[in-house]
Amino acid sequence: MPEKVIDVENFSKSFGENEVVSNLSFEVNKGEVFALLGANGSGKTTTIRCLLNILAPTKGSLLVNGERYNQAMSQEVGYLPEERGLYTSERVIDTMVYFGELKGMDSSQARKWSLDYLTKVGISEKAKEKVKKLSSGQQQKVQLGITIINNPNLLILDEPTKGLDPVNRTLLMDLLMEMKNQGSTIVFITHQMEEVEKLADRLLMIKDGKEILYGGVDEVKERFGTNRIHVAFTGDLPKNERLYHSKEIENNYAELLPQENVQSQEILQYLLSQNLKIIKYELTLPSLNEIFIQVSG
Amino acid sequence: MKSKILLVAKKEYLKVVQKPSFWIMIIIIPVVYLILVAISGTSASSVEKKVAEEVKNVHAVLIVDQAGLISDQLLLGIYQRSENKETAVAQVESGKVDAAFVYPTDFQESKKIEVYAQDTSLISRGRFNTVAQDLLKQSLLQEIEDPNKVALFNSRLEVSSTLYKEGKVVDQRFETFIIPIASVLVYFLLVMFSSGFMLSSVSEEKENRMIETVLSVINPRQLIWGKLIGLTFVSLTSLAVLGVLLTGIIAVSTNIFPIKIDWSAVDWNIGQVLLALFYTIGGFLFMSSIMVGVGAAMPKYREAQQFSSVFIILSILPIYFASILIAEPTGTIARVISFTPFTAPLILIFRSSIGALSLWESILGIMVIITYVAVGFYLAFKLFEIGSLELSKRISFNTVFKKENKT
Repeated sequence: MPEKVIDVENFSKSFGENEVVSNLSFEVNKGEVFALLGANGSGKTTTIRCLLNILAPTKGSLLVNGERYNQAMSQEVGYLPEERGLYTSERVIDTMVYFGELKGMDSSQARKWSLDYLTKVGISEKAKEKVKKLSSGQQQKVQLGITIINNPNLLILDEPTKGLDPVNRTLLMDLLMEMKNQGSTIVFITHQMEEVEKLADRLLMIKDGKEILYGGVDEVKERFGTNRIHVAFTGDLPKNERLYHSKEIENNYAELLPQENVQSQEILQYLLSQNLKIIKYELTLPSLNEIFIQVSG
Repeated sequence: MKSKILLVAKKEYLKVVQKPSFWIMIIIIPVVYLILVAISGTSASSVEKKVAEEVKNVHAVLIVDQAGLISDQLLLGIYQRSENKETAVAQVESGKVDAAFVYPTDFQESKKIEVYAQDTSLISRGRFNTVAQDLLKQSLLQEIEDPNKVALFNSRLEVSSTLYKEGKVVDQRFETFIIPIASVLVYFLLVMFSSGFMLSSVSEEKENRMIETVLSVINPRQLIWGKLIGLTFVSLTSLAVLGVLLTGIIAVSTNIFPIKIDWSAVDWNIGQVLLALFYTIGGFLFMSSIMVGVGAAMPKYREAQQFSSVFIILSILPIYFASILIAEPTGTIARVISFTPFTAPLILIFRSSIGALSLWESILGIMVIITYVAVGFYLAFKLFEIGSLELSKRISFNTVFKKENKT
């Protein structure tokens, strides 16, 4: 049985009369990458803030490694919030060492780690510069450094690639993969579905504070993809509204949407019976982007 | 592992004292004070010189003595009699004479001397008034025959007064005011320094969007106490440096401050000093809590600064009532504002240091200050919890008391 790093049960959060998260339950297992998805204002950030005890939950239980999170556990957890900034008038190295010390490292250890990290992300020459002299991309690297200093077992990232150029985005993805390979558990909030497809093992999608999708990435896609067929063919595709709707994507390549209770096998048999020369016939899974639009639209 | 509170305190302390602007500000305060004293001293002496010079340049003054009071023996040199007021005034108007003094016929009833003179400058418009009065006084003295009495009248008189309070002689030496003035000054500077630092510290983290990252590694109470400790040491450093600088300036500038201090007259009442210390710390904590609340409630530092100025003015408002408070330190106004928020610490410090605070008032003062600090921090923590993550809109006071179902 997988070891649970995060265990949320029946969690609700209200601001005054307004309930922003309602009866949410999910688990994140050790070593997995977990994506928390949802449209703006769906309650993702509030869930994370309550998990990290920055906000108090209204109802339910939110546990990290089996207990309610407290800031003494910050040695184990790295959090990159959506609203992030830096002490702009301070030097990069001083800011990183300060957070390293707050996370339980001693000063020299934090300094060494920070300098190694800055070298790794290519801004070692900026260590003694004031933060305000850095470009926004360089500042994001420093923010990520503050998040992963002390090599946390659990990383929680709220829109980590927001505002990053493609080069820095790739760099961040590589870093996250490296941390995953080292055994860290990663929870991230994003609107970039390709990132989820690339990184995540499981996902939770919420809408108006309620769960609408939860499970493994492939499992969720299969749930939405069982009734879609892509066909490559020569000749004319016969129409049969009783069995399917067809949509030609390009010449001799079409997507078929089966009618309710019609199996793909039945459609294949029909097409063969119509002497259609089939080059390719496959069940396809929708992209997460399509699923997202479909369920949250 | 180091305490998180101490880590925050160290960071806040170093952040401020490493800024050149901090040291410039501390040095500028006594320098500006010194410059102001020097300017004021120089301008006063140059005014005196200017007036003396103008008096020296007077060539002719007409005396119209309709009351028959001015002695002929005094009318020598620049003074000449004139029988007709209109002629004398015309001569002043035309600039032929510098001034004319008219002692009218009804002087015994009106007691009014008329002076007509050339307007030479703003600062010397009244230069003849005393001369005209002295001329009359000296004339009247001529009629007293005893020269000893005349000498006595002209001599500088001194008064020695002995005052009693509750059966004891009151020490009236100015040194007795050193402790009250120092206490009020320390409180004033501490509030001014600390409140500014605390506000900018809380607002900066919010405005820089650092607060959520910070709150994920340290809880709000630890963060605020850390800031408070760090910024208290900043304020104490400011006071110590300022104290050393001012002492040095006072010691060196003996020409500007020709004062000898009899330290034996300073009333080192340990009870009063401890009480003043308690009120100072209480007032400092109360103002700090207000600044935490304001910093957390306002989205931008500039807005927070504007809003906080209301509270700073309230806390130093008693300084503007100084004359009433000094005249009646146990009066109704003093008693009322001894226990109202914001004004309480300063008034309690002042009244305690001059011995105008009764025992029960001292105890009530302690309880009131503890209550204000507790309420201040309760609200500050509440506002911080609600407002620290609210980055775009200000938090209303009502929000603090809105019912929220929390576990």
